[in-house]
Amino acid sequence: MVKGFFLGNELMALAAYHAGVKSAYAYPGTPSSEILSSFMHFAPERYSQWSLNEKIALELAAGEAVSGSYTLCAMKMVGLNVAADPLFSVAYTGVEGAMVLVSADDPGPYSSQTEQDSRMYAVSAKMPVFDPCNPVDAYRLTLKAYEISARYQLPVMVRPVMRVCHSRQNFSTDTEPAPAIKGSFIKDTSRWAATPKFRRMLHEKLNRTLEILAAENAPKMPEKKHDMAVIASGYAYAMAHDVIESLELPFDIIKVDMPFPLDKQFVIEAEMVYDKIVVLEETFPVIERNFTIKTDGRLTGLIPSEGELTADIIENCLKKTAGIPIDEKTDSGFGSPAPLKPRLCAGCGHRPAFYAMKLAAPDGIYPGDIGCYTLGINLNAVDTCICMGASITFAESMKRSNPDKPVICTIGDSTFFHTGVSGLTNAVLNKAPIVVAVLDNETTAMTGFQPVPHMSGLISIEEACKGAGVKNIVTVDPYNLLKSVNALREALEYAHENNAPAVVIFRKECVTKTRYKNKKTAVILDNCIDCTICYDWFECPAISRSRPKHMAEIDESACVGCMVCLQVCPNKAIGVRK
Amino acid sequence: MIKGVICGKGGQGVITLNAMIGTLASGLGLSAISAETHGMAMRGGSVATYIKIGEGQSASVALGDGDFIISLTRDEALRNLPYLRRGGVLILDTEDKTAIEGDFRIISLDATGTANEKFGNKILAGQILLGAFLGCFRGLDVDKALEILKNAPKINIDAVKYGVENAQTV
Repeated sequence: MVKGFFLGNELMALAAYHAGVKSAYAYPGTPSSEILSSFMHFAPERYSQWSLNEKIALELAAGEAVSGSYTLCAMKMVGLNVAADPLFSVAYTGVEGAMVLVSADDPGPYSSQTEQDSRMYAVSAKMPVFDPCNPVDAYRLTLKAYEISARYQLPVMVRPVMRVCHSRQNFSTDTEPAPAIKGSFIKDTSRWAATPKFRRMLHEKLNRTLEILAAENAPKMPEKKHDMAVIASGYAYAMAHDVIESLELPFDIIKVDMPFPLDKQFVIEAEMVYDKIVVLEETFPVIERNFTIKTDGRLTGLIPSEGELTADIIENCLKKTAGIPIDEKTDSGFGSPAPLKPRLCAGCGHRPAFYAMKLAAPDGIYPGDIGCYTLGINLNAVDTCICMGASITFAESMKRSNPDKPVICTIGDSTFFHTGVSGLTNAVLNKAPIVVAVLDNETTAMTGFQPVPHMSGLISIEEACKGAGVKNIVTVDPYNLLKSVNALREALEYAHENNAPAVVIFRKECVTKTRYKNKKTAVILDNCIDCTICYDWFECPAISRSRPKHMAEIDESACVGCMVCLQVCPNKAIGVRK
Repeated sequence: MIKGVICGKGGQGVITLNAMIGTLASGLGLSAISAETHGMAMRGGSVATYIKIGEGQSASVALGDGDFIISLTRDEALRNLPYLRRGGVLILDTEDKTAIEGDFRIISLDATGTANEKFGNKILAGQILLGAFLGCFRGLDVDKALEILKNAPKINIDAVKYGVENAQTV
């Protein structure tokens, strides 16, 4: 008996466990991260792995599923970009056991670079995709995805949006988990090692299967009560359901569980039965593109093409379509304070590393990467942020276009192993005179402290750099500001003299993970002249300006006692409170 | 149905409070659905969760439709006030309600300070706010809720009871 108030991510993991999944693979990324950790929680006896990146995770899940086993693979949507190569290929070969890929989207976006829709990948790779509307629905549709994957021998995608992953809902079930389903590989070169000739045949077979699958799983037409219908999938369906019910709007509502492949007969029938159809889905018009007449949605401009859908947007769009006047909702007349921006934690080792970069190369270019340390943007020490691993490649190429500027890029430890190593190897081969600062906090902090490769004791960042061909590798403790600045200066000198990348590893374990708290805290002394450096340039969240005193002020409950601000203060106006 | 917003800044315990309320609602036999923000938003940034108790397929609350807001800071209360309906209730973890007024009820209590002074641990502020929330709504059976919590440490239950009493006396 399982009973509780569960996250969508937890219920998808539970469904995978109940379906008989033998092995689960993932790379962390908001909003998908809790899927694998929940699988580990529900099924500690089964195999699970935090893979180095999403491409590896997907290939591992596929390799076992090709061998007849049941597997789960989880990632966020930008991770699916990394995994796109195996995705398209495995869609053709199919699987022998069952494989479900959960790709979590982030409309908004809240914690991502893009608002891309994983269902577009499903369409172009020709992979069936389910779009759950809330956590309980995510449990049901994940189970269904395994059933379909096994029955049609295809990998199947489940695409939850952030509001499904990170919604909680009460749920209970008496279902017992199916035993782990394990197969063994049966050789078939025409399928598993298909040459282009066989690939065409696999494609043809896939197309036929998709048509049958679409017809067998067509959305159910409701009993007709209104002349207008909302056709919706995912969280947009859940919101539309609540809005239509509470305001009694004149729409029938049709839920689409599987946006692709969508049954053609269903589309024709819906267009015949209703005078008007509004399609609600996030974030691209995947379902909507199947309709040709009587339909309103993103393609007609009714629904905004960017940002997260909200209950208010849906309410207004439906009222507009129904010709019901929209009442202007004014806020309560208060000035709304600006939202607080996320910041590096007090005592974070990344902060002094960024500060040292600004001191070592004030005119430098600082390509950044994806993780907590993207927040180095608050210290003006992150100039670019493109995608996982792009800090090192950007450093190489930006140096080529800006030869007179020192270039120091920053990359976290988990990101370094994700896609950093290949970029670093390329920089060595192509003689890039750059400094790569590896910000090593010994965990994947932003997504909830998942493990990192070098803490296994099997490999170190230093060894990986050496293996990539880097000759100059220095490791420093960022809490020592002077040593950090000197290490960077020497690394820049080495890079410029030798036409080769140099690596500086800033190693300090994550203070939030370890809940680091020194018994002593820093304190502002009377000789503070409010030069603003400690709270503005060093940007420590424990320090702010005290207006009445015209001095800086330290919040002792927030200060963890890293004492770096003592080294930052030019006037020796910060001391230690014992 | 009861619906509302719980807000504060990252690290204050917004998500924990949300989970406590949802779990308790489940225990009371009511359906509950809530939505949270994680990740980048959690490093000291503004955090808000939305929750519906009683019915609903989605957790999203429309502007002007929330029955309550629980806010751990005054600024986040101001930011989320547009979600509160007329006659709703704002539960505020601070006695400073400067510039907050309108056609709604305010329960302002220094839960963090009280938790620290009276119960010796500021972490118990969440229990006090949970109590204040329970005390506000007739639809929620306080005695049954306390019965569900009976296996929790006594100090936690005392903190919840303190919250319930203060919700009623204000």
